[in-house]
Amino acid sequence: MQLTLADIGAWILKGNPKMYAVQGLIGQPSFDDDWVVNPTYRTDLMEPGQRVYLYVGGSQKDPVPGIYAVGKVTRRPFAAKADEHWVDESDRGRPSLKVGILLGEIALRCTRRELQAEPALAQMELLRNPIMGNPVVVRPEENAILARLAHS
Amino acid sequence: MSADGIFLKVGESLELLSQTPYDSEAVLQEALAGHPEVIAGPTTSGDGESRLLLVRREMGVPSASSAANVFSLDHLFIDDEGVPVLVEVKRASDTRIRREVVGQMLDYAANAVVYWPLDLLRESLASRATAESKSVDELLAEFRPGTDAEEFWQEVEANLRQGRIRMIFAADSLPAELVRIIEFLNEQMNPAEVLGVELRQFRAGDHVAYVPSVVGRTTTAAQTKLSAQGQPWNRDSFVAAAKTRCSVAEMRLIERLFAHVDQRGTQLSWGHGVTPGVGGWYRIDGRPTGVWVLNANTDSPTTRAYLVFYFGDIVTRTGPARIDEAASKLERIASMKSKIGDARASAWKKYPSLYLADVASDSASVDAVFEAIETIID
Repeated sequence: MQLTLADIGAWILKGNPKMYAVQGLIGQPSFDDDWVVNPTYRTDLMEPGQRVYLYVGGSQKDPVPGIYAVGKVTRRPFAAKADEHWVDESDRGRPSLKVGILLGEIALRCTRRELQAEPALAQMELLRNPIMGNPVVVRPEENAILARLAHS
Repeated sequence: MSADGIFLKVGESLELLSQTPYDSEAVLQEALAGHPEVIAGPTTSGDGESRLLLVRREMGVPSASSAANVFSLDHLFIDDEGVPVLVEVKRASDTRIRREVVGQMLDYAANAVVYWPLDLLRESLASRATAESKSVDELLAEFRPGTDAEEFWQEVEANLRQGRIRMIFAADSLPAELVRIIEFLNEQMNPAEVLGVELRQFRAGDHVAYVPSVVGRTTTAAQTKLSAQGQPWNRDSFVAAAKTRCSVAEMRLIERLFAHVDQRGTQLSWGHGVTPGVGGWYRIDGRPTGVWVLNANTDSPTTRAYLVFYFGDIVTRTGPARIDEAASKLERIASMKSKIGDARASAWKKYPSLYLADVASDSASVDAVFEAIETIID
């Protein structure tokens, strides 16, 4: 069933260190830029002001997978080019859909294990459907719990 | 003598150019195709400097039911941001200019964004180039000097697929009811844009003047589109915003960073975010490379301006020895020691950052920042 605005408590934007230099952001005081999203109907539901979580995925030990930042959408999705931080050079400069985001300090807020240990998040799309591309939805009731875990 | 028109001074006398109807729609079409600059400025960024590249006159548009072209658009242009510009031309005397032309244009646009293969656009420009005994590269170089053809077509395709197109109704005179429809559509549509251009012709003997005026850019329409676009920062707006947050010493450091790029770098790359951001680009091994990013971080009263070093990107080009040498200079700054340690341990995949307030008042720390940059760049 398609999502509507009422289903959206927040969005999760994922970054995989194998594909994108997301670990470079860790430790930065903020991130005010854009993030690649998949061109689906979901991106039509992204609006400035909506809450966004940055999730660093992957199976590596460092950076440990988890939520690293909380922020907001600042700009509706727009056509742009992939930036120079993609690991594979052929990905750089390719036409992409991006959403503007402003994140606060980027540091580990809660690990994937901590998310998995929270029963109320068992049905959260991030955990239930880990191959889901950006943006991943967080339902309003899940957002209340996620906000507490992410200390936001 | 007094009359409506344009007074052209020729030698010591004035010649009156009177408004003159176009003899035919074809004449108006030729004027647009031959001199797209008459509508480029007012219908693009509005600064009068923008240009339009004519891809083709009588551009075919396929539909869902047929791969063959079932529609024919009067002109297809591309603006210098790679936005396809669809132009339909009508004379005021053509009764179809009331409503029929609107449906016609929406038909073209709806089918174009879905069914126009990029190859068709490329081939169309190639045909134009052949007809003018030029190459496509020459046409592109005239249009956007220094542009990379592949990059240009990627921009066009991305805009097309996102529906970022501009529809222009061009006429010698636009009836009021069409103007109302254009303004309504332009306020509702995003990211597509709908504009009308009245291109009045004034003539006297061999002298011809074209006077364009644009309709559709209402205040509401501008707000609708601007709210969905990030406006890039520039030097003036960055400095003005940073001054509300930064100390005199921090501002001095910011100005020194800008001056360093002016003298030694390739460009300042301005951010599009809600807080003031800029990247400093320099040549590294002959290629322009982002070395640092500065953010004035004005999001809340407690956030502070900071500088990030993009070591992760640079190390792939320079190898670790040069980064290590630059990092050792930054380690002279007390607040950087542990961050440099973390970055080194991650093989420079983590980007070290510093708050301007931590270094700006200490000349030795500021010198360390610039020595580090100098170590990395060519």
